[in-house]
Amino acid sequence: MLPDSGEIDNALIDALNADAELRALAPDGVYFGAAPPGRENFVIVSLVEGLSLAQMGAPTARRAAETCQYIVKAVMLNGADGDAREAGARIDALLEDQTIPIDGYTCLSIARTDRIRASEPDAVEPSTVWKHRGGYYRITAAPGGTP
Amino acid sequence: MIKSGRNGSVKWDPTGAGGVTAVALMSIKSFQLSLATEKINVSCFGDQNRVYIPGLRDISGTMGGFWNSEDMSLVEATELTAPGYLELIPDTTDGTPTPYSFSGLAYMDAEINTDVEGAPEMTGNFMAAGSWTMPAAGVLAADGTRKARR
Repeated sequence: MLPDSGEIDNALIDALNADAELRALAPDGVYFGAAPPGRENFVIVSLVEGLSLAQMGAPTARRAAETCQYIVKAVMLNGADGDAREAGARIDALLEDQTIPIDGYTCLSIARTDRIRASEPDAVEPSTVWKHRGGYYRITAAPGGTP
Repeated sequence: MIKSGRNGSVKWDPTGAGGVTAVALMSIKSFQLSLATEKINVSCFGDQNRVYIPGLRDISGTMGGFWNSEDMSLVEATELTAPGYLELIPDTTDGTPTPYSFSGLAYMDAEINTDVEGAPEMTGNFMAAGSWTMPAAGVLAADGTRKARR
């Protein structure tokens, strides 16, 4: 039986949620896709691309690995720029060249492929600015347990 | 019938025996078989264009996949001084009682390609070291028999 690719997403969010330092910097939580209304200091994880690498084999063994590209960024409304910067740096420390436990997979590598730093005026209140800090991270994972 | 390459397989037996002792290589994702026949130029005075006659068919090709440390067959194959048995199956579900395949004795070369941006890959080259067996020629009729192509 093939593992659920969503476990890669879950593992990434779990790894970020488990870090007390990142939680202190972004106390409103880590969310996949979009944060609930009213959150002001949080981390967003979005799947940009999820490529499956095929191989020849038995019908349940034809997925050699998955390469998933995520946006992982701190989004902060009221925090100073330094807070967003620290949160972005903490995200990088947690992910770059690390491996994370993923149910049904072996995590082969995590690497940042691009950096994110942006300021975005609030759609409703333009005098308020959202700070975005983080990066694009590529996770490569192979189906199967830890070798 | 046209088939999907997802059902392909490459089997290898380093002893050269073949048959049931051939084992599918792990983490292979493609192969290419060339059946190019040498063409000998026999053009003569007075010919209006070059004229060729066929020579021997050259059976060779390549295969590619991911580096998998659980299967060193391709690496070990490069050390063999006697040819192994190679079987190339375009689709393991196509054909009864055994799938259509191209097989025979072969020597192998291997290359490992590692890129910081992706998974390490393995490629192999092979060349025939004896006569090869080809799938039966012709077209499959509605009754399941194979008819000679006209």
